[in-house]
Amino acid sequence: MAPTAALDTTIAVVTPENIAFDYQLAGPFRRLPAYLIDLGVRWGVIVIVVVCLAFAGLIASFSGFGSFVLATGFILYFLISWFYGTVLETYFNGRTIGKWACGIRVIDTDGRPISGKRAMLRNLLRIADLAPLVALSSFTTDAAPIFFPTGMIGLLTMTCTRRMQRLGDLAAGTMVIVDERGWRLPVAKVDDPRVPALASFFPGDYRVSRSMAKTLAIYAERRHYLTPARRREIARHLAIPLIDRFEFRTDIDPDLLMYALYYRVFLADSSDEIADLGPLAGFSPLRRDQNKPQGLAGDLAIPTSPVTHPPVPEPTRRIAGGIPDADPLGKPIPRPQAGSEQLGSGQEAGTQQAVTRAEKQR
Amino acid sequence: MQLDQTHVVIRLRKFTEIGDLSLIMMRRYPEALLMGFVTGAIGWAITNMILLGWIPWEESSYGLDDQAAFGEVSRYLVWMTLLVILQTPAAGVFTTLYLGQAVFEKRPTWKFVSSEVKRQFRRWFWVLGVKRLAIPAMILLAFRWGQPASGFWDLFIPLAILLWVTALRANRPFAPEILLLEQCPLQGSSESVITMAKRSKSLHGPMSGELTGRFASVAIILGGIVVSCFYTLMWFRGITLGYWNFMNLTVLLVFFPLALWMVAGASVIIRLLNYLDTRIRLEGWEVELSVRAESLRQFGSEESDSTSPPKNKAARAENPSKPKAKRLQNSGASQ
Repeated sequence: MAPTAALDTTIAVVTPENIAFDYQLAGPFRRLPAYLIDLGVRWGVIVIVVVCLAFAGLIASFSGFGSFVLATGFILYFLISWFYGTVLETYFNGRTIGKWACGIRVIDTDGRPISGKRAMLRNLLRIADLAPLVALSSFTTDAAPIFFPTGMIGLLTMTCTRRMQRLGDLAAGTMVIVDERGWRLPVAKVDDPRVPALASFFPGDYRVSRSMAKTLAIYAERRHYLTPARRREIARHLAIPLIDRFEFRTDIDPDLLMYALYYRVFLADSSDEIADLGPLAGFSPLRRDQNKPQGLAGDLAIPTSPVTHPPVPEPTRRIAGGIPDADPLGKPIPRPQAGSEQLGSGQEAGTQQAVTRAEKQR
Repeated sequence: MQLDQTHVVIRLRKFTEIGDLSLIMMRRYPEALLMGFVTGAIGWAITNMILLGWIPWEESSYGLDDQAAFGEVSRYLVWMTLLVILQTPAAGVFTTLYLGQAVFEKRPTWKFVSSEVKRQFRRWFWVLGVKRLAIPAMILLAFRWGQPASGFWDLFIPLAILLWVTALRANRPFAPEILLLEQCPLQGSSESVITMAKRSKSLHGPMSGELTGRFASVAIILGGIVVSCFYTLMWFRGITLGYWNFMNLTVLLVFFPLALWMVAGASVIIRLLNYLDTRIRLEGWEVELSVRAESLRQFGSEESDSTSPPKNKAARAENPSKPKAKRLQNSGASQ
C-alpha cells in the first residue's frame, strides 16, 4: 500500500508566484462559532434599527409609520442577510465579525485574498449549504412560519472535499483558513537556582540555531505539565550529545541541562551580573572536576529515586530566598548564614564562577 | 508504537480542530464506519427493535396522531435514545480497534480486527456492556415488554440511568481505548501491574475538568446533529416520494434509530481523536518529536529510539501503561 500523508487539517498551497504556504483549514466545527456570532450581529443590527425607527415614529406621532417600520425591517433583513458577508469579506480581507473573533479568514484556493465577486458567490450559496431547513409548520399546523437550518448539505460537502469547502466555497473557488499567528515564542519563568549555575558552564562561544531555540522554548513551556521521569526521557535525546560536547559529567540531569540551555538562550544576558548561587557555588558539572571534592556533589545529577526526590523541586517547595530545602538526592542543602556571611558567600560564588568561565574561555 | 510514524500529525489541537479532524478521518477511513461500526452496531440495533419496536407497532393500529399515542411514542423515543447512548462504546469496538491500529501502526485487516474483538470479548463486554449499564437497561426493558407506560419506569428510571452514565463517561471517557488499545488487565495479580482502573485514573485524572467540558460540548453538538440527521432523512423522503407525514412507522422504526446510530458512529471517531489529543498533552509527544528532530539535525543520530521502552527506571516506575499493556504504548507514557 502506498504511504499516505499523516492526517491533519492543513493543506499546502502554491501561489501563482510559486511560493508554497501551509494553511490550516477551518472545518465546520471551527466555523460554527463564527457563524453563530455573525448571526447574532446580523439580527442585532436589524432589531436595533427597527426599534429605533419605531421609537422615532412614536415620538413624531406619524400616522402610518408602523407600516413604514415593517417595510424597512423587511428590506433591512434582506440586505443584511444577503450582503453582510459579501461586503465584510470583500473589504476586510476575507473576514466577517464572527470570523475575525474566531481567528479565521476566507481566501481563494490559490492562497490569494478573496475578491468581491467570489465573496458574493459564496455568500449567495449559503442558503443551499444550510439546507434542509426545518419548518416548524411541518410538525404542527399552528406553528409560525419559522425555519431552522440543519446545515447537513454543507456538513456533507465539507466532509467530502479535501479543502473542507461547502457548496459556496466550491462554486467561488475559496476556502476558509485559520488566521491565528503565533509569532512570539512562549517565555517560561525560571526560578530554580541550579539553572543559572549550570548555565554559567556552557561554553561562551556556543550558539544555538533558530530551530534549537524553538525546540528549547517548546520544551521549557511544556515541561511543567510532564512528570520528572518523562521530562528526562524526552530531554535525553538532546542532552546526552550535548553533555558529550560540553564535556560535562554523564550523570547531569538531562531535564536540568535543557532548562539551563533555555535560560542561557532566552533569559540570561551576558551583561548581567553573575547570579548569587549560594550553596551551589563551587559545584562544577565538568567531567574533569568530577573527582574533586565538592560541597554539593550530585546536586545537578539524575536522581536515583524520583518518587521520593524529584529532580527539579517545584517552586512551592522552596524557601523564600529561592533556595531548595534539599537537593534532588535528598541531601539537605546548607543554608546561607545571616548577615555578612551570606553576602560573602555570594561574592565568593561570583568570583569562583568568573574564574571558571575564564578557564573555559582559555 | 513510533511517534513519528503515527498517521495523525502529532501536535496540540483545540477542541474544534478535533471535530474537523474527525471528518477528515471519516474520509480517509470510511470503512471504519461503513464496515466496522455497522458490524458492531447491527446486533444491538436489532435487539433494540425487538425490545422497543412493539410500542409504535401497537400504537399504530390505533393511530399515531392522537393524544393517547403521544405518551407511548415519547416513551419509545426516550428509551431508544438512551439505549443507543449506552450501547455506543460497545458497538464501537470494531471501529476503535481498527482505527487504533490504522492510526498508530498500520491499517489492519478485518480478519485481524474480528479475532481481536473475539479474543477480548469478555473484557469489553463486561466493562462496556454490563458495567456501563447497556445490558442492565436492556434486561429491564425485556421485563417491561408489553406493559403500558409508567412515570416511574419510563421517565424516572431512564433519567437516572442517563445522569449516572453521563457522570461516568464524562469522567472516564477513554475506557474503550484503555481496554482495547492499551489492553490493560481488569485485575492485577500484584501491586506493580497497571490495571485498567489505575491507568484510567492516571490518564483521566490530570485533565478531568477539561475532559468533562469536552464531553459536554461533544454531547450538545452531537445532539444537534442527531436532530439534523433525523430531519434530513425525512426531508429526503419528502422530496423524493412526496410523503411528508412524520408520525408513521417508517419514521419511528427506521429513520429515528438510523439517525442515532449514524451520529453514534461519528462519536466513536471523535472519542478516539480526543484520546490521542489527551495523550499528546499529558505525555508531551510533540515535545519529544521536536527534541528528537533537533537531535537529528545537530548530531545526525538519536541517542535513543522512542520505540524502545523507557530506559529510565523512574520513567518505568511512573509509567502506568507499560507493564502489561502489549500494544500501542509509546515510550513516553510516563504520566
